[in-house]
Amino acid sequence: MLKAKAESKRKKQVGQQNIGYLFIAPAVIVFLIFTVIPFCVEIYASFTNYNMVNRMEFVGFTQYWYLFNNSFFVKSLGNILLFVVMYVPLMLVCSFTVAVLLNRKMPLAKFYRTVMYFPAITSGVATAYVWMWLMNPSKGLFNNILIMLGLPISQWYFESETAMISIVLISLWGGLGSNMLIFLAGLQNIPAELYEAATIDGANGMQRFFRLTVPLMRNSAQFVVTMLLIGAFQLFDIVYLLTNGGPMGSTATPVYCIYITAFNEFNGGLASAMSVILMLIIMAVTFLTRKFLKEADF
Amino acid sequence: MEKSMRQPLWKKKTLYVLGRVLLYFVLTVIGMLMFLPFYWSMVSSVRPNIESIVGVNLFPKHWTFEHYINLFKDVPIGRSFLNTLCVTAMGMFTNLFFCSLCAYAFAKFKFRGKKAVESVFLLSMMIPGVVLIVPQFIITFKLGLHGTYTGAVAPGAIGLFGIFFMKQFFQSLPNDIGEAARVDGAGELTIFVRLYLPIATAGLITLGIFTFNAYWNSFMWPNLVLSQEKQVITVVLRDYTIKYSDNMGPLMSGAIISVIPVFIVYVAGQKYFVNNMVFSGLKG
Repeated sequence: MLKAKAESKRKKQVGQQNIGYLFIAPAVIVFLIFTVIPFCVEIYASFTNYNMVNRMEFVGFTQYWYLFNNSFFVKSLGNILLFVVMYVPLMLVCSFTVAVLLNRKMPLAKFYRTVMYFPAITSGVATAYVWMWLMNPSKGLFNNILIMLGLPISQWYFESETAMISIVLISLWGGLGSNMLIFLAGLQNIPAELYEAATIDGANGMQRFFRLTVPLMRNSAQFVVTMLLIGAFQLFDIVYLLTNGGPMGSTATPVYCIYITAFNEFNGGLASAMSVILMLIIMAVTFLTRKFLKEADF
Repeated sequence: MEKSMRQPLWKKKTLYVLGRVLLYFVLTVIGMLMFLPFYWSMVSSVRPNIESIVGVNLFPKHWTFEHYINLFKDVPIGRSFLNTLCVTAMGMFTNLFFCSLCAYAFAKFKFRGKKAVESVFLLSMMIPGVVLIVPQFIITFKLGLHGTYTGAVAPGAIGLFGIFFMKQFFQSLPNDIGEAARVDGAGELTIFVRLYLPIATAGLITLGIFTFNAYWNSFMWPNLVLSQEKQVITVVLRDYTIKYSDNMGPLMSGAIISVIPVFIVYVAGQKYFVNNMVFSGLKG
């Protein structure tokens, strides 16, 4: 009897094993074909002179050596750094502020939230083209408003000094909603009793905000910063559609370089080496932020 | 507290009202800034170009639908709309079904190697997707998926984020639902499809919105793999600007047409979507 029971249990477990493998099989297959194999191919290709058509020939570290003497790619790293330095802190402050403003029971809160989230679900293509017309130097709304107010006009993304700032503005508009929503979710997780207790203890609004809200939002902030950094280093759509990396290469980003190198210049080996470097940079930045933010005392 | 108690009631009330007025003012200004680009493209799409490019006219003086008519005449916007719908529908089906299937196995079954597979998946989420685009393109080409809808869907067909997102849902569901059905002799796939999947609707809707947006808005990948007649709406809009770069009206009408579906999907699923942001591990 006991033996039979154990036997049936064992049978059930074996059955469960096979069903389990069967259920995860589609995900594993897609993962192997489109993540694991590409990952290996990419690392191998970065040591070859692959030109997207012919066979790969092993060339050692030549591509990496060439990469750091390639002014296009080195410049793109500088550009993306400039973008990250402007975009990430601005986005953090803006999205957190809006989330705090909207985190209360009030009429129209949902309406405002929806309006602010709409840009986040708009495609990069629609975003780029709408802003292309807003920022058009001779016919755009922005310059027409500046002229109406008697202010000096700007060349926006047509001039290398202001091009990256324009891209930052557009990205802020496009990303505010989703980051705000993450902060809002975090804020709504803070128990109301904490605020009540603090109020009874005599804390005023300012104190409650800086001593309670800000420290309690640390995890949300860490998540947002990490996601912002990962996303910012992959900037592509808007740059590709709006500026084509210009003017004078001032908005060329690493992904833009990879794209052009691979699909316009058919230099698969060099593009792979660029991708490997970009991947290492993103992973290192992610790792460092996590470490830094975990240790930092708020 | 003491200080605020010493303040007379009318003063407290005035301060509150002032605060509220200021709050609504600030929110309205930010909201208008966020909405301005949409508004501008909407009005630009229904009036002659000259009204949009000279001076600052917030409202159309003459209404016209010529931009929409020209857009449909100049590029295959209708066809590309259907193409995008097709790619998006395929991507949604594979993501919702297979992510859930895998997530369900992770949450409810015991099998050897499960922990290892989960860790590898979790670690791989750290690889920024876009850096694998060159080898992914080569593989898609070698598999003969180049120029097909399947090729456009394949790399993101079963997203890792979706698996871990759905796993949280299945973990929160009790095991005895399945046990009872198992005693009655129901098959494992039936138990999953008939019993567990329907309870996870809220999660499926949220993941559905994420997936819908990702496929509907994608540009780089379809631009690389799809052939001309199967091309999606984002790429067709880009083609329009290359041909007629100085005609803003039709382009704005195209932008409006392309964002309508994502807006409808978001508004329809908003209730689930916002509530589930808390659930999706995006919590504080």
